[in-house]
Amino acid sequence: MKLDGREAFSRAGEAARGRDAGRTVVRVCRGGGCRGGAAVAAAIESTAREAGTVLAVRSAGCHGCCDLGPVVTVPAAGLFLAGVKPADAPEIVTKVIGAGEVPDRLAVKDAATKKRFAREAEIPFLAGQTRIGLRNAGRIDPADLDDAIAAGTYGAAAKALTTMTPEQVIAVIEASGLRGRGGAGFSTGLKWRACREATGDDRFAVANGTVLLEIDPHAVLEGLLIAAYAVGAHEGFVFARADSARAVALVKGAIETATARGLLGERILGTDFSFTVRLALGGSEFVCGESTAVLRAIEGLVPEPRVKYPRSAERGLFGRPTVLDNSETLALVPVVVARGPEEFRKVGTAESPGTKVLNLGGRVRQGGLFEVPFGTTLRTLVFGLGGGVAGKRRFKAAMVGGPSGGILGEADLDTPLDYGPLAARGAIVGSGNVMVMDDHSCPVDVARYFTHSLAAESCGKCVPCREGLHHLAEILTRITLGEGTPADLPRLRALARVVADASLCGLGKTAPNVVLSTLDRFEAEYRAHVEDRKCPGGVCRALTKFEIDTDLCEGCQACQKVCPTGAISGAKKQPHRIDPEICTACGMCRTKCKFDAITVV
Amino acid sequence: MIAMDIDGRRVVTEEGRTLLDAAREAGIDIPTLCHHEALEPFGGCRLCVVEAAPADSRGPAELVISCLAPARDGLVVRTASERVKEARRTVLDLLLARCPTSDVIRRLAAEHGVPRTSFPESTDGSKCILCMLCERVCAKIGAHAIGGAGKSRGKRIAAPFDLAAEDCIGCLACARICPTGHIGYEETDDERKIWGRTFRMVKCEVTGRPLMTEEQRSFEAKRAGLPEDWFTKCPESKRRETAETIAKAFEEVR
Ligand SMILES: Cc1cc2nc3c(=O)[nH]c(=O)nc-3n(C[C@H](O)[C@H](O)[C@H](O)COP(=O)(O)O)c2cc1C
Ligand code: SF4
Ligand code: SF4
Ligand code: FES
Repeated sequence: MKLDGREAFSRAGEAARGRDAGRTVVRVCRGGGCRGGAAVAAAIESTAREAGTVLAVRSAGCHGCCDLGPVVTVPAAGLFLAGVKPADAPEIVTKVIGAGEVPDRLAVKDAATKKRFAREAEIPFLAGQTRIGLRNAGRIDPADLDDAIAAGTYGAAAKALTTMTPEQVIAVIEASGLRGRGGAGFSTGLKWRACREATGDDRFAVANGTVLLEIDPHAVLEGLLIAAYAVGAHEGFVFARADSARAVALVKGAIETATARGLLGERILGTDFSFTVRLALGGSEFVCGESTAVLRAIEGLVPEPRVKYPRSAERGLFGRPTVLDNSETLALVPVVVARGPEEFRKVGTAESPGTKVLNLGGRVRQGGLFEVPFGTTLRTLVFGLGGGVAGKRRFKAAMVGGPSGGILGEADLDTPLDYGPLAARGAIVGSGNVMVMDDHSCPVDVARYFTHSLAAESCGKCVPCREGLHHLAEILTRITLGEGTPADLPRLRALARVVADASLCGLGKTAPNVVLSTLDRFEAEYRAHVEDRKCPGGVCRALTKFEIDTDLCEGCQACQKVCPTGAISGAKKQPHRIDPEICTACGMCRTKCKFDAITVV
Repeated sequence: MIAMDIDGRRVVTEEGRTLLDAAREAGIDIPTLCHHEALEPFGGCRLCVVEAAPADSRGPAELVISCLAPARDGLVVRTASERVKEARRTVLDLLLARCPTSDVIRRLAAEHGVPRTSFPESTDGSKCILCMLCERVCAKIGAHAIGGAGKSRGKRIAAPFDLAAEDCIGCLACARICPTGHIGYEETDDERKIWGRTFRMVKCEVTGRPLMTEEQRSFEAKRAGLPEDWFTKCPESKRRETAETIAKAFEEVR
């Protein structure tokens, strides 16, 4: 039934919150990353039925820590169980739900201290976050509108539509200092104002970016609705990459259910305001996420970026003023409207209020989505929340900002994660991806890898990106193959600078970050490649020779077992030896040695 | 009225003009490759870059493409700074490596201080710099017969699915606009071959000279709402005919 006003909306909220009265709610995550959630849910349900325990087993969206999944939570008791299997169902029903006791194996092991925690509020990597955009991550079923309404979603939109003028909404967003989370960090309020003030009969509002769509699609839709109201748009699109089937299905369902309930579509919540949202699908290519490419894709054209004269806010989709925001930005909008700009500014930095969702990965103990205030240092992220470098390895570098981000080193660990400080060090906020590398990595090879893949992602429209990235990748490939010369280093730097300076869109402008930042920080390693023909990281095979340090070798034979070429010999408990004639420097042995005995010479 | 400082000179222009327009009006030369007055701007070659900053800005100037950047009052523009020249040289260096056999690119590069490329030359013999002028002119005419296919360095100009260009009318607009002469065609008095197609020529009734392809005649006739037999004489014959009629009229008057 359509909700025809604020009162009907608040009654719906009460009804949704009350629907599980008298039952214990158990949530099993069904995130895209972890499998097995369905089987766990079924096992808990049938066990409870047999035991006569009254449960409401509900799905949950991704918690942002898929390596711990499937996760089962008991929200009323604040419990969080990781790595649950169907066989754990009896214990969960009797012990966990019945008596509040959590078996050790289901509690979360803190990566740094090895201590176990079962209470969500105590799990360090979760408790250490400030989840605002991710406020509902793992707490609601993203496919269930009632879950969203129970959590308060659409409340801010109801407030805006019924008690605020569009001008007031824009003023609130401006005062909050909210910056776009899609990469560039442009002021959202300014963007909305430009769109509202642009001349044109009708406007469009567009949501871009996939991550939040999978976790909390209604929060994104609510943000989009508020954006549309603020700029005066009556039609909108949610743009999702066609290959993220889960996000596509969730958004499709969310638009349908929200429209059916009168939260989107004609005369929303009984007001005069109408806003129709459609789903638009795009390709999986990196450049398809660039704002002007997104708009062209929606128009049915080749998703190629265009020069931003005029700006999309003035002449965007089908020539109409268009506001396009990232889905994380949009998920924050309702929070700003509901709690007010002052409250929003209480976290983060003065230049960048609020939080940013970061995706930590690579050689780190605890990866996943981490939402932290802007200004949190890289050290806190990697060593605090992430529990430090995996295994016994040492931190060497982190790539900050996604595939076109920059590489930061140990000396940069205290860099605040924020637009200005990152840019000053040659990195970006970008997609919010942070990839940690340990001392068994080679910055030159990392630069080669990312430059090569971004060269292939170039849309081919402009010369510096299309041709320049190709030649950067070629030079880097030669260096990693041992065919580089010292003259390559200044050439790399000069070409990378021009590609960054003269390319058309953000892809070409940011792709050289990895080259320039590694040249700045790891010049000695580049020199070792081109002058001494050595790869100190032991990654570039043509430049690597491994040796076993006989003082450290315990003769455990672990390396012998994994060596694909049979290059390692030595009896048990006796120091081993690598035959340099046979060894192909694949490095398998080094990943297995517990005693760090395999060294690069 | 907009007043800007371009290379130290005061240049006055109107709202709606680009930096390139303004510079050219003032006689300041900026090289371009993908720009054409008659077509929508594109911004792909990046040869026309200039530095621009508002007069009161303290930050670094922005590198913008003059063929698209709008003229703004008080802008300080540098068309030949070291940064601009470096970007231009690099673009030409890259294009030269891509099309080492193109005389046009070779000459342009040499003029800008790049006598030879510093990158490995490509050996496929292509002269296409992917300026997309051909695609854009073809679309402007309304034929939409050819366009870019693929991405990255593998991007190329082709007819859909790399087949013979079904919608091509053989007008040669693409070949004529192509700055490097990449688009090949063959022509006799009776036939024209381009994009994998062979077209028959319509001849001028008077001189017998080839006028246009048959497809082009149908296309133009349809577009202009004229009968196909409208296009029977070459412009020269038409002009001569008109002149003769007028001369005759004069004679009669006399
Ligand atoms: C190569 C490239 C890829 C991008 N991919 C995405 C993307 O996947 N999702 C996204 O939201 N923004 C992406 N962006 C940023 C968008 O262009 C745009 O700035 C952003 O969506 C605007 O929203 P915001 O102001 O809320 O950040 C990309 C930009 C570039 C240059
Ligand atoms: S920078 Fe790269 S991706 Fe962007 S328009 Fe130019 S070629 Fe395309
Ligand atoms: S064929 Fe000629 S006009 Fe067409 S893109 Fe290539 S260089 Fe430009
Ligand atoms: S002429 Fe301006 S980008 Fe090509």
